[in-house]
Amino acid sequence: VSIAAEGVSTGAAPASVAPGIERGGRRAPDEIRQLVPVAIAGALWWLSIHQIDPGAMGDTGYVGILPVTYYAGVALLSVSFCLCIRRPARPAVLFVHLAALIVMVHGLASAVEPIPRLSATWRHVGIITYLLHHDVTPPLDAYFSWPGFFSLFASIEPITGAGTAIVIARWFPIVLDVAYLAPLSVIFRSFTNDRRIVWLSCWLVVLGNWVGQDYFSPQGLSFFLYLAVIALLLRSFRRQHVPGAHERWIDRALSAVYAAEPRVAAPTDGPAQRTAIMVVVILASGAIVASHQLTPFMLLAGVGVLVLGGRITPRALLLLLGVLCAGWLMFMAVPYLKGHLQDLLTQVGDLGQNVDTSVASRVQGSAGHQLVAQVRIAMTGVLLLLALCGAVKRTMHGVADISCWYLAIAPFAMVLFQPYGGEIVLRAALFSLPFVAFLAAGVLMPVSETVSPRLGGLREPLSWPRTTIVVLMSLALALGLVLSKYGNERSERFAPSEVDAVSELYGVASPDDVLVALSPSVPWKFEHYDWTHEVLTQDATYDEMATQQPTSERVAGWVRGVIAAHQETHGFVLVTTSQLEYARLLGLAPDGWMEAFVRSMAASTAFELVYRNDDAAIYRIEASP
Amino acid sequence: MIRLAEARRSWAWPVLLAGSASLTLSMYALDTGGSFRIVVALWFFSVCPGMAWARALGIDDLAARWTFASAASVSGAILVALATAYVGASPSVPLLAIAVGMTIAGVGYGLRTRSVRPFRGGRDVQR
Repeated sequence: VSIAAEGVSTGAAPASVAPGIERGGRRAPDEIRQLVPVAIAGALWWLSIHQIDPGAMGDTGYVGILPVTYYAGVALLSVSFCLCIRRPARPAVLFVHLAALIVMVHGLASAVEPIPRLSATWRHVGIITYLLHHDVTPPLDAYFSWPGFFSLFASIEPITGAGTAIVIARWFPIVLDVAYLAPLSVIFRSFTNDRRIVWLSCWLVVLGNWVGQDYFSPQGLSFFLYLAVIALLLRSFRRQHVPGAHERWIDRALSAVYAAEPRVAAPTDGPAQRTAIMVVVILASGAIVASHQLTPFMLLAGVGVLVLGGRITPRALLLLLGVLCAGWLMFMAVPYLKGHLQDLLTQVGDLGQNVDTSVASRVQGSAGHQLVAQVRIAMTGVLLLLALCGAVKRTMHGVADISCWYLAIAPFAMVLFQPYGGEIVLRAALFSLPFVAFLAAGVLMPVSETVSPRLGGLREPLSWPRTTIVVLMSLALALGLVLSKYGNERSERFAPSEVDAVSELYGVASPDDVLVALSPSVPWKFEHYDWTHEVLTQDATYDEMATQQPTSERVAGWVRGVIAAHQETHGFVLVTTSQLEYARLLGLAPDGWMEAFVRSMAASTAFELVYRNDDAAIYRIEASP
Repeated sequence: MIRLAEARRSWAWPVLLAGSASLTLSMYALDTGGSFRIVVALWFFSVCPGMAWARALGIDDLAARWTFASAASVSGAILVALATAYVGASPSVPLLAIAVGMTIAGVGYGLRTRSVRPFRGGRDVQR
């Protein structure tokens, strides 16, 4: 039995063995049989999405209105996937399962809702539209200090066709989630020889990704590039520690520490391939630095632990990344820093406040929303607990996934530095998720970094009790994902009539008007991004307003105050169903306060109704009585 | 028959990549295509330039090849778009020209290197 057959290759790819381990000589009819449940699950899903009425949604989002056939489809797919990894099926079969899960769960809103969800999506489309006709400088806001994503789509939109950014935005989550699979697979295969853990880890990432940053956004695309950089580094620049082969004390020490890491076959890249891969790593790092505020620092943390921990060889890359991040901040993001440096510096080290704004302050609002927030915390907590158990279990069996530990922990270092608008723990959890999922998969799978020669290169099939546990875990996570990802959907989805109202608003308003919404959940800014848009609940005086009864006089005074702050003479108030739902779900105002505000506005002579449909109304008001 | 099938398979990717470039270019020039145009253009910009070079360089592991291809294509497109944005140039034409150029160059390099390598089981450019 060669050393390669034991899954402990020393460099030369075990080309004759590795495919056999995965494929085991299965024939085409096996694959067709394994894909039948996927087809049935897909058909059930297709039937389900035509029965869903988003208007009937409650405070827990889609979970209460999905038909039984939807859950049956997801359950069937989960069972089928777990049976396929019991005796690893062909990669193509497992990939189809994963892609189907992504479409069925992460593509649910794209398929059901006729227009993109989330106000940020519409805002991002608006920035792209703005850049089609204006320069990136001078910057209008923070987005313009990291314009990589927006410049990309402003360049592509004339090629895909005018006005197509909104179509792309609707289907973007599916494309992005499928794109994550390739780098995830490369990352996991650098950690283990057991392909069942690789596929189960991918499955758990899809099921555990409730954070919802896969929408049409710079962070979604930057996360893909982050995964790609880590994947290419771990694949092609991983340091192999061979005990006893080193002269320097540091290498001997590192070899002793990493002796328990699985010895995974290194690729047989030549110099040209390694150079090309390093060029792509640098290009992708540059693209990340230019596209998003947080991801470069997550990448810096990830690459930092790998370099300082001696897990990858290109040490200069860490220095280069540091220079890129610092250089961008000092030269390209100056306008942003000028306005925010004081805030950023005062938040450094305030761990308690940073965690509180990300976790505790989110468990508020309606009972349904609180349940959703608790499920989100529970899902993350369960995965972290499983990861901890997985790490302990594999270590006790002599397998220490130290690189994975590093990458799972590194993102949480960012919590020390700033709250990131109350989202830093969520973002850290997202960047940690792939590595947490891998360790969690380790607790569900047997520890077998070597294959059995007795079985001719195949692994023992997963036991039935273990398969059952994996199935149950998948079902629980799938249900939790639907609840946690779409829990706020009632305020995050938009009716087409709301977009019609915004279009009408842009038709009647002029660049000198101040446009006011009651809460942030509104599909606007997709045109006229440079006009003045204000949100009442984000106004400095809002907390004081919410303590008073919204009489007609007060409402007129408050709105006039917002307009006068911009030294303009008149403005428009846009009221939509989603704004009111958002305020109610998140508890931004006392019960009935927003509704009373709208009634007072309608009754006031200071406001003139200029447009109304089923989901929206527009009022015009002069700044002076 | 087997050799014919292998030959067809080895030409599939170069034809697909060059075809995607031509199709994107044509639909942009003729301003036609509807939803199909969106799919083709996104496919082209997010995969093709990188895939042409991933295959030319012989990155034979499937997941690594797709990772390389999409990361190279997307990050290259972002950096070109960014440069044109800061320069103040018309953004689409330089991006399209560079992406098509990189794709055709990658396909050409791949075909050239394959012609000097021994034919191995119908798998093109595998080291």
